[in-house]
Parts: sequence; structure tokens; C-alpha cells
Amino acid sequence: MAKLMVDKISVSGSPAIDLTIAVKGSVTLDKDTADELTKGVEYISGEKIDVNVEVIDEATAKYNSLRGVINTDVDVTFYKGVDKLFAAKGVRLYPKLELSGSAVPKITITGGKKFGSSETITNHIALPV
Amino acid sequence: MKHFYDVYIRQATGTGIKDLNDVLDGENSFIRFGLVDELPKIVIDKKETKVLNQGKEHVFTEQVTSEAISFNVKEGNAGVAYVKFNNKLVDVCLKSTQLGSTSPFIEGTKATIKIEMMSRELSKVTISTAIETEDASDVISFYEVA
Repeated sequence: MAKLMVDKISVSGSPAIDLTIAVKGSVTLDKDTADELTKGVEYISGEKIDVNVEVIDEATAKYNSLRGVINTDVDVTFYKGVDKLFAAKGVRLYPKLELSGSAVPKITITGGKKFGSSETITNHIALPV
Repeated sequence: MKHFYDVYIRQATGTGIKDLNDVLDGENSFIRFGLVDELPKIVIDKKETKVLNQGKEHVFTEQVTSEAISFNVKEGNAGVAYVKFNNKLVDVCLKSTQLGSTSPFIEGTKATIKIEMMSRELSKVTISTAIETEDASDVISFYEVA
């Protein structure tokens, strides 16, 4: 399987915040709440999306922009070139900033959302084509 | 770009500084710490949060923490700093040793200064600060980082 290389991660907003320098990250879709039924079968009633993005050496302007989306719902889209790879929709993010005397500035952006398993998945996540 | 910083500390004034490049040892009540290049470190992270509908997290408060270690106790101003700043509200600046610019600048944060003197290791001074605030932008400013 070919390794996916992300060129850009974009956080929606006015304007959108494009993260392009040394970016890496992930969007994980997983079960959140499950009830065990008879015979050990699980009934999954809730799902969750976790977003984790790491940016280095792109601190001041991007960090200030990212602070502007705290406590608001945003879409996070991963790009290869101009092509969209996948996205998390309507998530809340928090950018954690770490500055160190021996390393480049690092912003770790984490967040996510939860939803019922009966909901339409494409309302919450865009999967790779 | 990789940056190395020196740490400057003073008793909090509540007024900020207009020109962050004017931070010098002995100027504006600042004292400079001589540091090894592994530190200092500053972290801005969420503190008090509440999970809302759909598992979305609302951030009510943030925490700004910093830590700087000096192994240069004799030549530095560790003793003076301990007397003047331990358990007091301070302003902390990091100044780039390459560019000469000062950033970030943390205002009114409480300092804890720890001094360790050991027989077979270098003596060590650690300055730790922490402040919880509704908006980290109220207590920290960036002149230039990257």
C-alpha cells in the first residue's frame, strides 16, 4: 500500500487556516458507546471522531489564527496537492503551543466530536475516495 | 527556525513593556538568567473544560506554564532572584540569543524558584511559573516566534 503524504491541512474559518509546514496528523473514527448484548455481541450506539494534528516551525501567525477557532465548530481537511484526501466535519479544536529553547515551536491541535451511530456518517466525516 | 533563548525575569508591574527589545539585564528591573540551551520551555494548554452536546469540548480557562533551568548558579543571579521573586507575581521574557528579539512575554504569573546544590553535580536553579486565565492572550504576547 502506498504511503499517504499530506501536503496541507486546512481548518475552516474566515479565512481558512492552511497549515503547510511540517504538518502531520490523523482523523480517527471509532466506536464510543457500546452495550453488550446476549452472546457477547456488541450494540454500538455511539461513535466518535478524534482529530490530531501536529505543526512545527509555523508558530506566531498560525497560532494566533488557530486561537480564533477555539470553541467554534470547524471542518479539518487533509490535502495531497490540491486534492482532498479526507476530512472531519464540525469538530472543536484546541491548539496547544509548546516553545522550547532547543526545538522549533510546536502546535498540537486536538479535538473531535461524538454522534449517534444511526446518523449519516458523511455528515461528520469525509473518507478517502 | 531553531531558536535559543535567555530568560529575563522581574517583579510583575501590570503595565507590560512597550518595546520588547528593550529587555536587558538591569534595565526595567529585569534580571537575566544564564541558561543551557535545552530550556526554557513554555506551554499554553487548555485547563478547565466542559464536554457539551456531541462530545464537543468547550474551553473555559487556559493555563500558561513556563520552566527555565540554569546550571550557572555562581555567575547568574539565582540567589537574588530567589529572594526577590520566589512565590511572587513576575513578568517573564524569553529573548532570542540569535536575533536579540524578545518573545514571548508572560505577564503577572506566579513564580516558584527551586535551588538544588549537590556534591557531585552542577548546582541547579529552576524557575517555574504558572497562571490560569480565561484567555491566554491576556497574559502572553508574541513579538516574533518563528
